[in-house]
Amino acid sequence: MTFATTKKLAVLIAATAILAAACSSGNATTAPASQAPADSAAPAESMAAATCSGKTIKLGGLATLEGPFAVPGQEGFRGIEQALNDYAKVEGKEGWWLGDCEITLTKEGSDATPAVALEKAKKLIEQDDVDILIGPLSGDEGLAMKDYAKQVPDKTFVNGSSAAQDTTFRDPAPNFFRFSTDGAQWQAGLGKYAFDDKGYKKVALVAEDYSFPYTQVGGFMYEFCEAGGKVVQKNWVPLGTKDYSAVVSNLPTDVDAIYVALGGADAVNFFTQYQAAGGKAKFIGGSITVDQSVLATEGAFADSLVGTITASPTSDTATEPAWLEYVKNYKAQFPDGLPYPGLFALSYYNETVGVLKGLEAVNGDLSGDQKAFMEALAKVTFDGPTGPVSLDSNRQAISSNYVSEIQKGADGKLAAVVISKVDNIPQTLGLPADSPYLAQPVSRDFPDCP
Amino acid sequence: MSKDLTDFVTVCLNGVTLAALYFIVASGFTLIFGLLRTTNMAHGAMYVLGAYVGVSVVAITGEWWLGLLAGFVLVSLLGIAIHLGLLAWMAGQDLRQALVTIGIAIIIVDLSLAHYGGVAYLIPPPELFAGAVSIPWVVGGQYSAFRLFMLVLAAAVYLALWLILNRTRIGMYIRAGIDDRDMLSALGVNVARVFLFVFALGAGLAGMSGVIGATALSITPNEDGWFLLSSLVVVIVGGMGSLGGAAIGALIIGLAQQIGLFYAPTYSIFITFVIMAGVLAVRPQGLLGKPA
Amino acid sequence: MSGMSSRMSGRAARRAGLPALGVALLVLYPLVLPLLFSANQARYWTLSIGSNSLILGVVALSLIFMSGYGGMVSLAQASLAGFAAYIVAIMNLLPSSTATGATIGFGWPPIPSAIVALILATLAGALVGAIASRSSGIYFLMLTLAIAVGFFYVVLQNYEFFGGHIGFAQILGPTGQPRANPIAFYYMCLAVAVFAYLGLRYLVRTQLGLTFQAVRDNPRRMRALGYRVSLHRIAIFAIGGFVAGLSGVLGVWYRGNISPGVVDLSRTIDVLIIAVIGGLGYPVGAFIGAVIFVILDVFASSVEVFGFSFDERFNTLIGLAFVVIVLVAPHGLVGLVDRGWKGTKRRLSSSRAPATAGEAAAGPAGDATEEGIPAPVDPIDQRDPGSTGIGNS
Repeated sequence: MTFATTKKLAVLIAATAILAAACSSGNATTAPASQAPADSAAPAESMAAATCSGKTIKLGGLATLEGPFAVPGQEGFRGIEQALNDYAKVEGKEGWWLGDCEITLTKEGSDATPAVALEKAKKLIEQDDVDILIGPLSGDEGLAMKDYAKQVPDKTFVNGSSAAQDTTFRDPAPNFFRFSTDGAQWQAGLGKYAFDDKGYKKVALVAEDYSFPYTQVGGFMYEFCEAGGKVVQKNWVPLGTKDYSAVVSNLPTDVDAIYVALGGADAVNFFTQYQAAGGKAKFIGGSITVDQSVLATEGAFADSLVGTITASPTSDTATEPAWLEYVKNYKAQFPDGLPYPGLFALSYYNETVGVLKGLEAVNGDLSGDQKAFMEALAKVTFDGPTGPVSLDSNRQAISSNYVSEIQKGADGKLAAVVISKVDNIPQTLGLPADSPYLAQPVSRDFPDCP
Repeated sequence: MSKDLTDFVTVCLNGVTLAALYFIVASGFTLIFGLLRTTNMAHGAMYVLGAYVGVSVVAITGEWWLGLLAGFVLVSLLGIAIHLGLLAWMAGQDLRQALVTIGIAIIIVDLSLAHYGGVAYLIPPPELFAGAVSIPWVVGGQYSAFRLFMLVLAAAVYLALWLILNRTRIGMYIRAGIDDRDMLSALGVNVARVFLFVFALGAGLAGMSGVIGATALSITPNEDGWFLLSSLVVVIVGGMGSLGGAAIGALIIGLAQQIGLFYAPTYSIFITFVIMAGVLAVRPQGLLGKPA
Repeated sequence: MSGMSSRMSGRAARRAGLPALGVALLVLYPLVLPLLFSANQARYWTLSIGSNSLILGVVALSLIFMSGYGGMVSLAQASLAGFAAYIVAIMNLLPSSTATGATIGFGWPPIPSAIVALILATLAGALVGAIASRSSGIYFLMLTLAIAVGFFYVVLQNYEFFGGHIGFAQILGPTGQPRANPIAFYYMCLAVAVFAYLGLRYLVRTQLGLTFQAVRDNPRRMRALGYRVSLHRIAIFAIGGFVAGLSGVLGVWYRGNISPGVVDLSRTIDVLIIAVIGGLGYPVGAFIGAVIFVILDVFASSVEVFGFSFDERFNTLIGLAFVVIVLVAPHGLVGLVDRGWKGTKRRLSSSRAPATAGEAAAGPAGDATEEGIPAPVDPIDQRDPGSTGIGNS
């Protein structure tokens, strides 16, 4: 090493230390007062006197802000903020409060890869010293977070919207909680409805080739295969595929329907190309296949989606009072948000409500390595916007799911109309614990019923 | 006709129409590289930007052709700004230029995300080419009219570029410049202006291809990487700076991807890169590239 | 390039003393942290800032070595590091069946796993070199980029060997869980980084190292002299693969897992960004670039400029910072300081207008004789090799 460069290195290290000091002074965001008028938050009653005694409770939020999941990531953060606005607002005070303890939120964005999610989680937990981490958004990030949670037993990890089955189903972490349902639960009711009511006996499937679609397909096939249906062809499409015309050409014509588990732009591409090739089949959709982002995309394919059945933990057209209240608050708080809060907003919302209920139960007391808080959190139950939420022994949510059908409204716009809703769906989807369907993790080849 | 054969015909047609899109995207890239030796790493970002310009213009005017024109014009203006403001100052430093364009690409993509969000946009095809047309020998007996129209577009782009290169004065300068830049400036030609023209043309082609891509497929902000890579692979296989090379490269890659996706979906994308490595191992300058 | 000689400014004592000071500061770094921060934050600065910077620095060093002494800016280095990381995982994990039913995992201890990984990374580097060595210049950059992306799609899609989209988890290094013993992990990274840095500096002074540079500067003449030019290029690639492999091994131990996201296009570009920020012609720049990159990456989302928060637009900030650095400091920050340090005399005459490739090639050779340490060439300075560059050899 030479003179000049060594000296510079020393300067740089000094500069780094200064920067460190500057940055460690905290960059937590508190709620802007204007964002949420306290009176709009219906359930906000001043919570019981807390024993956190003036300390700050630090929440960390982790969602995806880059790439295909950027919009869901923004939705996730809206979910966290809305829960705080709805449950932790005190009249006449800025910010969020539990008794006399302020609640802060520090946000970090990942790019949907486990490696980056893990780095950002470490930043929140170690550098920003948050007490409770809420996130991440996508399945493989969630699996990585579970492993990290095991290394940090004195902090509480609450899922965001990641929906891989094995985050909680196999080898769970004692301090990882999931108040949202997993990708298989998101398909609850769909397989039975397709077989019994729609009369689909034979389907082919088109899905992206990674863990989230495996889980979704699994949830569908548990019911569909059990009922006697056949999945005669599986097209696993590599991530990054833009042109689906070869897949379209490969689809058999002698099936009753095509099950499609693609998200966002990929769904749009597939439906467009299927329609352009003159395809006429009925569709069964995964939870993000025919969500708002796809239905709102204007294109010739839209008409071909009428009659598509799908299942998801949210439905735009649900009419329960709690849901309507939730939607009203969402629209009031986020004028630039989506027309309806989607499943990413709802998942993060429910997670955050769970956290606030748990904090309430221990009066904000996070002492003793959060052991008392975690115990209380495992017992939390509450009525969310879509129905009751409780946790099983793996700290996995038992909650509601909708089966919907895409119909054209009077205004000519497509909407998912609720066919049925089931509450209290467990992670096993009601299969017995020793069911062969649960014996293996879901994958390309499992389950299988050709 | 047997099922296997109609399958194969359909898959090949898919490959050829995809190749048409790849060719239009890559033509601008290869043109810029051929003359300026600038690797425009923002080429994919320009594709994305052109697509969004098309989305907005078609949404307002309802006219697909106006969207195509706007995509070309606005992105070529951006190209002029980038070239005059940044790249011309570092002429000849090809690595530095590549690096600057990486930074520009990051910014364009992030700002597109900020403005349009991550949802997919589709541009409705012109009335004439919406829907499917009947043709024999393909699966289902029908084929997307717009995809067939892309073949016409690609042929038109090829023809237009060929005419510019071979039948105009500036095209003569460009060809001379590709062969020997020093000689060109020695002849008293205003090289800077020729460079600017080519960069604007290449950028415009990227923007225009974005409009076509957003019609045939769809557009989201993160598609820049894929189309930059496609352009890279197409011109590496075909030979840098060669229009015919870009066409052959696009055909090979488009066919390989679609045939791969049909017969061996798991590794369909990887196959593309195997082909590229194979070509390079045998012919480092690409199939139609000029050896040193 | 030609400005390098005067930074070899002389006195032997200084030359020996200052690197030692630098290393001493790096050794003291984790010990000082607890005085400044809470235990939690000290751990973060030891691991996520300190160790992470060293790990990224080593892979950027491999790029700088290849570009500075081989004249090849390779974008495959992140992939080679990732390849080594995958091998460590496969060797280290207990045999288990994958989703497709194949059995993978050998249950070897960390160090033997790492040795296998380094050998294979070296061979993989040579293989990439064999494919790419006949190209040069910017063409070469694009080829290695395409190889990198191809590798990404292999690991993404392949479950039999690479664990597909999920990859492998729960991999421990010889120091155990980094969180449990952050300082030991940091020192391991530091030792590897110093080893790689000094090793490469030693290598370039050997006969082989000098041949590398001669091949870089004038492949045609070397071929005429009877040297096997492409073999030398392949050797440089193998060494680059080995150094990148070191980074990959440390990286997988640091994260505890490996998945395709570690070798995706963003990570590939990150390594280039680090090298460019530090300075492609300066080996020490790899580490300086890495520190700056890590800090920018960690704190960009907290930056506010004139009331505009970059929390959701941090990529725009990173892109802007990158463009500015390439504009005002084309030789990286080390180059900027280094060249600024020496006044403008030489710069005005040579490096601002490195008129011909011939001069650029002649420069470092002249430098090398001055002190016996051959200087790397900053490929930023190299003008378009023109008709001799594209697909030459």
